[in-house]
Amino acid sequence: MKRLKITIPLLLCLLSATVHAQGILGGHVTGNVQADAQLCRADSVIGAEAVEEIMRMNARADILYTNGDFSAGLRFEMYQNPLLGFDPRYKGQGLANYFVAYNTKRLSVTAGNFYEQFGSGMILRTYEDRYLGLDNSLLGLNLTFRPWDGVTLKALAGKQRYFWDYGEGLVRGIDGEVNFNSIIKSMQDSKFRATVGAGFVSKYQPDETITLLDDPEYKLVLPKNVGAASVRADLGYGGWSLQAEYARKGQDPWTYNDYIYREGEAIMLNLGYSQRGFSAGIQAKRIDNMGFKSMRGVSGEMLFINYLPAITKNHTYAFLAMYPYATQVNGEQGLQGDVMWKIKKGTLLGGKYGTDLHINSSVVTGLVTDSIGGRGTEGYTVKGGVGDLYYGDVSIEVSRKLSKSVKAALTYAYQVFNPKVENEIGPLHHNNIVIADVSWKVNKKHSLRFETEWLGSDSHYDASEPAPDMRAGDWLMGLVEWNIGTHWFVTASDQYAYRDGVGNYPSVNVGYTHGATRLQLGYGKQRKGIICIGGVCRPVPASNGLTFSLTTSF
Amino acid sequence: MKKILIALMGVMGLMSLMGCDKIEPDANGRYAVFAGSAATWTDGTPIANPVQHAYVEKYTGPICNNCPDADRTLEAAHTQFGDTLVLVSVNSKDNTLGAPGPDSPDMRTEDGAIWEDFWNIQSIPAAYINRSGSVYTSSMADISAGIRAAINESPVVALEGSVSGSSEISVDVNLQFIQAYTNPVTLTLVLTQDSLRYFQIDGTQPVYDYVHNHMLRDVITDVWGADIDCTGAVGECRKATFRFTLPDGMEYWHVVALVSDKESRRVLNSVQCN
Amino acid sequence: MKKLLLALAAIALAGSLMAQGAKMPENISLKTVDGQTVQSSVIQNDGRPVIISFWATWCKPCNRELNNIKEVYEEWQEETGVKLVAISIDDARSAARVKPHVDGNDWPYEVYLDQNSDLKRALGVVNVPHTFILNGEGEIVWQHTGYQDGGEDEVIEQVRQLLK
Repeated sequence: MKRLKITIPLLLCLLSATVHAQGILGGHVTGNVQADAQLCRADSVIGAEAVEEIMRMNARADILYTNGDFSAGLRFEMYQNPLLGFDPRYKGQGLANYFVAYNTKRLSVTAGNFYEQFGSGMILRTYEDRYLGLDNSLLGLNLTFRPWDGVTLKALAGKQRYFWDYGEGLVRGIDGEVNFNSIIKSMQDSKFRATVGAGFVSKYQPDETITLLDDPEYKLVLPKNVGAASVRADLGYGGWSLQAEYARKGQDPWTYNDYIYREGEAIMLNLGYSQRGFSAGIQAKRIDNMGFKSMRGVSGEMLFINYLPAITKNHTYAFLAMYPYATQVNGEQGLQGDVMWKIKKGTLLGGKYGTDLHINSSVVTGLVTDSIGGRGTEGYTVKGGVGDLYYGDVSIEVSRKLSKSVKAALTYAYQVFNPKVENEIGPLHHNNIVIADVSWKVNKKHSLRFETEWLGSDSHYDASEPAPDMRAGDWLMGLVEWNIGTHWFVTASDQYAYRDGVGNYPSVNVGYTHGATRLQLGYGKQRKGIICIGGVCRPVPASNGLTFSLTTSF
Repeated sequence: MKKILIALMGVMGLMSLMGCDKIEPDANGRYAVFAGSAATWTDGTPIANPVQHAYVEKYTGPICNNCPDADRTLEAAHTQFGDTLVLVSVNSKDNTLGAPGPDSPDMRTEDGAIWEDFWNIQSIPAAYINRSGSVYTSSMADISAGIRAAINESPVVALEGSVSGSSEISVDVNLQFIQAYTNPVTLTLVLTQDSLRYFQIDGTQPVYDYVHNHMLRDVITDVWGADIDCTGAVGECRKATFRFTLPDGMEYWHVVALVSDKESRRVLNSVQCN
Repeated sequence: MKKLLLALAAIALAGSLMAQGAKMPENISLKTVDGQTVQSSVIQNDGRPVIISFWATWCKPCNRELNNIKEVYEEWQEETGVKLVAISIDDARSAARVKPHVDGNDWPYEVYLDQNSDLKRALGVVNVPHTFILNGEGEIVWQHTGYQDGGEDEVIEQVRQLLK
């Protein structure tokens, strides 16, 4: 598959064709447009560099035409040049995604680029995340068939997007899922709920020459076809729910596991209980050599066939997310617990308006392994037990309405972070974090929000290191957000390393929202670090300058 | 419609269930084979009496009723020409003629299939001398004249090979350029096996313990050979040692070495090393 | 570069001109919080308006919006008969937390999971929160992205306009 180029006139032609079609055949066009641009200036203190082209920009437009059961879509993307932190291989512009689909109650057929997921995605999930610069959509054929209510069968085949090209690995898969409450009449109104499913995915990639490191006259006998299978169940009874999924993968030597032949395995268990105003959940997960890509030689986040999200909570406050955890696909095990409690109003703890309490804790460790050789061998065996600590955290958030117009949330968190998860060597970091978040509805038109964050860490900034950790040290942050009506907002914030660290990161943003259109203009500095979404991360370099962002849906 | 779709999905499902390769490790727990391409070439020793061998690559199959006739022609030639005739018998990848007979091993190989595709073999039996010239078919009654002509050519390269070891095998190859040859050349090592007894159709008769000789089991080097590090000047001598692991319990095996032109793939000289 | 920007603007303009009357897609698979697969045609309200709110457990403004609407939801329903359907875009990482989250927050809404983002893509949603209003015929008549305190007032105002 060669790179697809499309010129603007052609795009406009297509667009006018669809507009025309609307007039004659009916149907609708929906979609969205997004453009992000940055103007960068150098700042030696934080390590930001000026960029030659002055302005960098990512832009895209999704256009979807729907007419009854039929739909067709295309996506235009442009990276001129990619924003700092995005892979330079995205540079360019063109038609990045296109498909035609036919959807009825019983049958869905998609030809072209598609996104699909089997179960929780342990063996297959193609998705895109524009903020990570990640798109692993499959180009091919996707069939979903629902012969009876409660039964879903899926089959697919295709090749995965790799920047402006497609990987040579061919991905094929089937999946089936049965919901017993739908197919068994007597279970329709039962308190007991059960869904089971199973899937199988196989990838094919031609042979290539990869030699042993210690004996380069020998080359690996590579499996050209690698299979992965999973079984899963989703059970519930009243307020209780249990989800379980187990996956296995055949011999799959590839660059990230250093070409070992050990089979992969992953298990996930999730037990939850909830009732009105209270919920608790515990999740356990173990991954052993389960990274699954459609091309064995490609590192980085592209071309993953499966999705192994981090078990840790997805934090949104800046300092809670400063040391994010990234899933270690080669091996990890973890536990996560979560309690949410709405304490009723009028009680001692609940106060006049009620109080929300949210406690979350997680711990992730490595596996304990015995090495039995490197590349071209079985790799290792796993002994039971708990390996190196990779990550641990506990956070408590209390939020409460203080008066009719004032709400406050107080968060305390403790984190232990092993630099190993970012492939760095160093001692564990221990962080204490306190966050106060107060919002005040001044009147019908104006509201204000104040956020103060503190992070105390035992990490130290060390300028003598080749790439010093810009997150090191103790930090303070303040943020003020002013909302004017439902259209305008203004924020001003500053993050400052006041001890054992460097950097002062002020930033100002103005935003305007009208309907589904949002415009944002900002000026400020961005710390070098890592952003993670769902346990998948990308590094972001330091930057200093003006940013502009537009999104609109139609 | 519903039935067709379920059937279609079932077929796709079965297809993908088969889509999983299982690789077995060697005795050292390594999932690797000798590739040869990385062998180092050093100065070799002159060869006293250069001999030109004829290499015959023959495509055959257990369900091919004319193949035994070709076998008999080539065995007679082998008696006549002795070691100057180097034979490799490739079981065709053809799903009918090359498929294993009752209670027989599958002798098809991936490497053999690559050769077969490259030479575009349309029917079997088929044979080439030195991978050039015309293709010989059916009983190959006229092949001995071709072999004689090949042997009578004056050699471009003289080639010697010797084998040592029992399961970890070393192959020492030594060659000398008798005439200047400036095109790039490669060395291919082929593992063959004799005295294999399994099913063969002979004419109209099924023979359950037919003796198959010179059967291709594996190409030890890369399928088209490893590059020879040389200039091709007259008198230049080069040698290299290749190692590989013999499959467990293999008997009656031989290593055949070929020196070929890298582009035309014509075989310049060949030798059976053991 | 200018050409590109013009093209993008043209697409946006053309799109917004055609936005009126776009129908809610009917055959997109969603899951209930109990794990049952349903088609998007379940999102309807017997000829009365529907509010669709895309959200995620980890999205603070989404949670503020849904919690704030909860306080006035009964009044809204009595006045207009409107129904709010909350579509979670949580993926495998947090999908198992959707039901506990909804129960824990005591939300009275109909909640579906769009784990594979099929509906999100079909409706052109970029970021959450993103709110749509459907009229009685299931046509999208209004949409809004983001949430600021008080934003719910505009939502109900739009619903009232529909009923006039």
